[in-house]
Amino acid sequence: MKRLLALAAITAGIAFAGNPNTGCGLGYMIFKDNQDSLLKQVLAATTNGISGNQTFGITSGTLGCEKPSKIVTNDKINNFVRDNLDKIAMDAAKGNGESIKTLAKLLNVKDEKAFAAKLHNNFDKIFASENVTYSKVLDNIATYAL
Amino acid sequence: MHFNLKRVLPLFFLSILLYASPSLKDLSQDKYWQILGHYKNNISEVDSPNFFLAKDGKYSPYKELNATIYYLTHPKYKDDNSTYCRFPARREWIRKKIPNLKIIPQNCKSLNEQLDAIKDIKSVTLVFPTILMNSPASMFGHTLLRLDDKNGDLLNSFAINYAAQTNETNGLIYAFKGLTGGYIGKYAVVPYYKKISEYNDIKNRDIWEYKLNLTPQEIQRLKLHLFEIKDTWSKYYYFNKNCSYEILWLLESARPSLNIVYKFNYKALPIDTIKEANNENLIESEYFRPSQKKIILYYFNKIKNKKLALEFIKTYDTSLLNNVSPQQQAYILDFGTKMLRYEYLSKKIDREKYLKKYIFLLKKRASLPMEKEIYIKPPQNPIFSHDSNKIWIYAKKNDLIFGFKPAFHNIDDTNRGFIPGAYIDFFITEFSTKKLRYFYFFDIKSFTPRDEVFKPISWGVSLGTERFKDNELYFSLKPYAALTYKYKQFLYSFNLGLEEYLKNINYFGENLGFYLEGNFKKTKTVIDIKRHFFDFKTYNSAKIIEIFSIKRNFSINIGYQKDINENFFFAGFSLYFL
Repeated sequence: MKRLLALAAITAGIAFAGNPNTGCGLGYMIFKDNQDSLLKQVLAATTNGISGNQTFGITSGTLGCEKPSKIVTNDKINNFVRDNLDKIAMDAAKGNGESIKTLAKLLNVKDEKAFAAKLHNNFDKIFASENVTYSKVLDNIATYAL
Repeated sequence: MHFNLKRVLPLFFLSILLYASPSLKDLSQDKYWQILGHYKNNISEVDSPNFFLAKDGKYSPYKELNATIYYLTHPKYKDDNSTYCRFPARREWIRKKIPNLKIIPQNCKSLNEQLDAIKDIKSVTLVFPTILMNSPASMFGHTLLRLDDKNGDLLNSFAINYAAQTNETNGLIYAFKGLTGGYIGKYAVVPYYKKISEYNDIKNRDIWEYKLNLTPQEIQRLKLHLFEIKDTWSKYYYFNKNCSYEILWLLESARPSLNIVYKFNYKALPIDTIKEANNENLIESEYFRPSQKKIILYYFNKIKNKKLALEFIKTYDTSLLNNVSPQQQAYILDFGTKMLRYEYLSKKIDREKYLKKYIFLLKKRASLPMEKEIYIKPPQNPIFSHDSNKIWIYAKKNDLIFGFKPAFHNIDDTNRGFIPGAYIDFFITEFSTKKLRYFYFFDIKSFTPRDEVFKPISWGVSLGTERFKDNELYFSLKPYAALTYKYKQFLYSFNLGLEEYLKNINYFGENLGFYLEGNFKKTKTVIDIKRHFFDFKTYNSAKIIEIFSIKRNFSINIGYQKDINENFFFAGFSLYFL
């Protein structure tokens, strides 16, 4: 019986998906479903073409968050910075990475390298604390890196 | 029969108009019309009514063409809701085929807005997230399309993704519905960075990007068809009507001379769809995007004092780094912040704690030298892996063995283009000249190496029927767990398994085993030995195989095998095909 139970436990684990976090600052992202059950792994359905309700967003929607004041932004910039704030922070601290190169393109910055160096050198001012919002970060970038 | 004069009369004039040109019947059999309606054998694969203008348009490309022409010339709705605006690819094709047709123009605000948002598309890329480590079933993988922005802003480029719609969390219901068409599948468009974050960061899967050589005209056709299918749905089937299959329709709408979608009927493995695209000379170049784990290990390998780095990620106490050179401090912090984010994404620490440490560590990092470009060497391109169908013939003393499987990859297959230690097979059958040797519904084996940073537990499970006591066929279920390690070209693993054999009597047993594989350029060596414990008997089994890869789809195997009933040497060959 014990063996049967062990077999059942290994074979039929069931996992629950996590709640997505929402907000306008750092740490905004979808989560890893930590307990991939064996059955889910057998089918690997979680990421192979099965997902929750998806939307068709060719044109970007509104944010419902406070918007930056110092630079003219569009929804594309706002969405990108909001959704990638953790990565932008990491790449800004290193002064290198795809997320800040993309940001340079979105803000029409010509000299990507100089922009990266400014983000790196002014990191404490741009990301003053962990409570910073994406719109504040954009304002700070306008002040210190453009 | 309901007879609508208003509707029939224009068709009458239309047929006069078409007098000298091919008939509408012929036109409805044109390959492009079939592609635009997702028709196979004159039945459309789209299931949602909003895709059809004729009542039984799903079952008649001819009636659908008739109705489309009718509504283009006699609009029922205005502007955005008109056939003119909702089916722009059909409209443009019909315009070309019937130049004299009096199509009544409409003001397509919504269509124009969306086309405007994707007006600067330079190229289209087929994106292939590969395997989720320690989850071999993900080898079947996923594919999506990316519309590449002209300015090279790939992160914000639009990704077209097809997926089944569900929030189901019960694995069993999930599996059953996914296999039997219980979910509906829809297309979606999201910025590509969301897909990177889903696959690279959260699921830790490598991504291969295959840039296609579509011309601007072909891309324009793809965009128009994309707009036609955006609010439609089809029944989702995990094996054949899946994510990888459905996006093939978009490729065919772009370049109708392709012949990919009609090649996939019973199964559509993502890697097979990429290989077919390659066979049709659609692929121009490739790009590799490493998973988050690969990036973490890249930084870890740059660190000289590994012990210190591992100590550091326990507490993230920066005073530990006081006596380290600035460059080495930078590496440890890059490694550390990525580990911290990984722990957060895995829900091992809460958001507040994560953010506080994250910003603190990044401030410290920003005080150190800037990073130069990093380069992570891509593994072998999966396009060069063996194909998914396989037959094999082995000779042993006084007998022959024949085998077949439709998918996909196991320990006795050639290794090129695959991640070592990840195996999944479906419907594997093997006969000798006298009898069925075994049949497995599936056989999954994962040997994922543990290293200094990551400590996964390997696992596997098989389900099927095979020869057991007294050479009789038993139903079998065999799960195992294992610890796997890597040494240069070798993976070795210690495993502990359970075995259940069912017939009139049930036999439960355990096994202890050792597994080793050596991966070399043209050969692969496999040693799989186990000791089995049953109430009636304790015995050893072994599988020792040497695989010589002669060509991509041809190998010679020699080896020795021992199980409860017999032991023998064998030699033979394996042939793979799409």
